[in-house]
Amino acid sequence: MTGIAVITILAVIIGAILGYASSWFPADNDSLVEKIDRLLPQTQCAQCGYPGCRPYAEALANGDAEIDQCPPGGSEGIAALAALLDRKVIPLNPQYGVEKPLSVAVIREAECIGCTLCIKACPVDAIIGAPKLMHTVIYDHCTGCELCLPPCPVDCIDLVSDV
Amino acid sequence: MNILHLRDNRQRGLHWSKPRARPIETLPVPDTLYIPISHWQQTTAELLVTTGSTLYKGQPLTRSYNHNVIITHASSSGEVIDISDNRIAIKTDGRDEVSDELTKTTDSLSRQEITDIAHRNGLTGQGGAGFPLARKIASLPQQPQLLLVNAAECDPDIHCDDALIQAYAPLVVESVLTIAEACEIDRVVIGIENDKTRSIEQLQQAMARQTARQNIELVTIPSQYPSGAENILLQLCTSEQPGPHESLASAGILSMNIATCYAMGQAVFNGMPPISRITTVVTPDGRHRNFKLLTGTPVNHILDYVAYERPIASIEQEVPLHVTQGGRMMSEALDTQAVITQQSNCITISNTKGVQSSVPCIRCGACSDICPVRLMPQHLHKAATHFDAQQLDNLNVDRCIECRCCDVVCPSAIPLTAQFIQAKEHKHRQNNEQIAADLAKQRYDKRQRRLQKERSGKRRTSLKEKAAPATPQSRKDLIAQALKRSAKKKPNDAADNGSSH
Repeated sequence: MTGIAVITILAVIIGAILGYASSWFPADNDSLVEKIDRLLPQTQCAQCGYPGCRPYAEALANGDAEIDQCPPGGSEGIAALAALLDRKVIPLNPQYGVEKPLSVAVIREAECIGCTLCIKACPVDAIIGAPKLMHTVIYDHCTGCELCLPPCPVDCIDLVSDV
Repeated sequence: MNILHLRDNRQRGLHWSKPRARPIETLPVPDTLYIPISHWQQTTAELLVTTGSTLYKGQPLTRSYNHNVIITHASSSGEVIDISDNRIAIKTDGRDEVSDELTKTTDSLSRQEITDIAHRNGLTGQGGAGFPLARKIASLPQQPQLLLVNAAECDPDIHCDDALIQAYAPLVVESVLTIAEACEIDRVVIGIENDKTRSIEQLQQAMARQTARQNIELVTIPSQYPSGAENILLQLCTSEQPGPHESLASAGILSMNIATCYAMGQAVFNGMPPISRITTVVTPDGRHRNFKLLTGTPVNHILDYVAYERPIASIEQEVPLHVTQGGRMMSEALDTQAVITQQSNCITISNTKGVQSSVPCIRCGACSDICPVRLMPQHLHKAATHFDAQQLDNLNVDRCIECRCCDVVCPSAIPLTAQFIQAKEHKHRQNNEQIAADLAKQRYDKRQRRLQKERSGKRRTSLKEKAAPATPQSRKDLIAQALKRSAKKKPNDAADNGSSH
């Protein structure tokens, strides 16, 4: 009888400690996300289907995503992810895009009407400009994510391979 | 025939016994010259000529205010027949007329003036790397300590500097002193190998005539490869050593090849830009000859004039000749379109490509014994094969001077240097990508935080509005206020109208 009581009390105490610990010290998932995030190219292009590199890293850490969804990372990126996550190296899934050389967006400034739509689309704030004034791209900050291309109403943005 | 044998000296390297350089010969002016146009990143030199322009020897073809863009000049008189993206074709008229717009300088020069002369004449380092001289001088600190003149020509196949000194020692010394005076450098050291006896004699004679000027010193160093590498030469001549991540120029040391000094002398005293250079041509039988060649001379033109023997079999089978540039150690293959540039110190013609097949490393350690910068190539080889960036860093792959000593001694004939160059590039690229990715991540995170803030700000205001909707009472007040305002305005309007009538 005492045995059962002791075990029950112990179980309750340990359960309480564990419950407390799990709520106050969440599992060290973040460091894995951080590690994955470091391997991703940070173009923030959302081609993987997630709104940025960090969300994709979180999905990978949770096991919701495959490692073949990042076209800018390419085969090199997939190999690095496979090594980190101990998964098999697989080719890039063409559904998400194809591996392209690094490029930057260039605004044909004479044609820009100053609508600010590309500025809102840019995930890394690499476009500067003001309403009804010419916009331009800060090339050093541009990741070549192509997100500014679809919103442009006058199609004055080109992607040129990096020089 | 040169004999290769190794010695364990204080300074590690390869030892060759080199014959004395042969005198300088000239070739007839080629029918067509192809002058390369320099680009630097997105900056292009501005063209000063168009197709059909008549040119004179030494006339500038391009213009630029950027010190990184090298200005090029016509190397003979003639007519521009074609301009492409990277070169200008000149049909020569054979008269070789010199432009009358060349400016000679006889006064003493300031540092700014000598930088301008270096830029205007498109002077570059003639040792092989081709660094713009104007940039090098401009990057010197306020009080430079030393002018190190590199007359060490350690590659076994290159003899052009030796030939140059034998022919033009007085002008070279004059030029070296002028550069030192202009850059306000008190100490000049000329480093030369001890087996170039005739050149040493010539330089000493020329220096004896200039005793009144700066403190100039001729240091002889043992003849071994790669003592012509800047840092090694500096150590051999002065036993000084710059910091590991410091360039010589930023440490106050102006290091110049002796051929660059000669080109500078030509530009200052004769106003003639560097439109020719002395190039060693090595024929397939291993003999060398020195030629004064015009910039833009097609390599094929040299092949037409320099007599060489070919095995009958290779002629019958039409095996193409293999042409390389840069001597035996730093050789780089040239294609049939290649032309002579300011960096062409040696053209080697061979019948075969001479590719050796390599076998796995046997860990003999010969490469570690020879490495002049004391790296461990066999460990580097292992790290580079699997591309282990961390290990490559630990083994200081960035300190490799790419001298190819390890390639020469490797009994397995592993192309070590090529592998290290590739590994360095890979590492560099990866580094740059990581830096760019970190920056993008930072900016993305900042943007996300900003958007979050904006969103929560909006929500707060909308909540406030909801919490305190305008009551009917206050609405009535608002209307009353608006009516009062308009009533106040009306008499003014009427007054305005009245005055205008």
